[in-house]
Amino acid sequence: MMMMKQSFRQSAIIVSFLFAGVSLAQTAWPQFRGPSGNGLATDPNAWGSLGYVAILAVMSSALALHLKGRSKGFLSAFAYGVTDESFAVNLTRFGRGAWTPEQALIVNQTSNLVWFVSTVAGGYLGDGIPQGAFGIDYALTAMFLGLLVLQVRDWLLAAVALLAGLIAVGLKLLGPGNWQVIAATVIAASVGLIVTERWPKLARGQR
Amino acid sequence: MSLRLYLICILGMGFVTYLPRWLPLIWLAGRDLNPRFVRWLKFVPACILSALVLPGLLIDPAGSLSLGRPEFLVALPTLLFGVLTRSLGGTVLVGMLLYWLTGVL
Repeated sequence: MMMMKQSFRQSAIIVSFLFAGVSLAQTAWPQFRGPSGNGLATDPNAWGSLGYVAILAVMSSALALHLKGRSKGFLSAFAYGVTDESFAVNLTRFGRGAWTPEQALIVNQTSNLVWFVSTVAGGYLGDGIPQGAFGIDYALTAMFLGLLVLQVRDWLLAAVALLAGLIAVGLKLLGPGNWQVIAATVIAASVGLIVTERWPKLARGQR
Repeated sequence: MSLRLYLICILGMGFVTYLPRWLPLIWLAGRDLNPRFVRWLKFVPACILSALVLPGLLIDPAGSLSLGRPEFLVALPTLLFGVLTRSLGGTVLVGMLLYWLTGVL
């Protein structure tokens, strides 16, 4: 319990530090303000970005479970490649076992490199691809669906994931931004934890 | 914005998104975590992916709920294919193909 309180306190410190930094930048340079011309606290876009920052922190926390005893240099290089996609691929592999932090680092850095190269290539060649060709607009969605399937290893995880998705939909209907994803994740994962503790039989598939 | 300001902005954004990835790794990777926190974290990947993808399937660009969007209708057979084959590449291709067909037909 002590440890959990401590990590929550640490997360709160990170968030307030980021918040203070962005506010400072906005005061110094008015150009850093959102399109609405407001400061950070009242700008929905800024809250959306903070939501994404929180997602990154939670993804890194989940990855940290599998990176015990690595050097600070290794972890610093690893952090650079933590994205939604590499996170999902690596955690699926770690969950199955027989996956090392070094292999995960290669996934991170390779996908970053491919992303970089294909962004430049897309800038030059993108005009050659007709709009909407071959369902390319659906590639990212389909990939997330595929990654989701690989993460769902039992009925409890499926139910909790569905709950997270529905909460996110409900919250998104209320307003724009990115914060709904982290809010839905925190709520649904907490429900999952409560269920595993009250009805341990349901959680037998959990590793 | 001037070029200099753009560069400062890009570097700043890089820093702000690097820090929340770096700090948890540095703090958490070296220590024994509370088992409840670990169990909580095990739910996180599936929750994040679902919360990222589902709103895009069910909410139309105007911001209202819709069960008839091609994005959602294509997602159902795509998910089924994923569950049956557990192939990531295959799921991506099937999803793209089906979505493309909904545009053609």
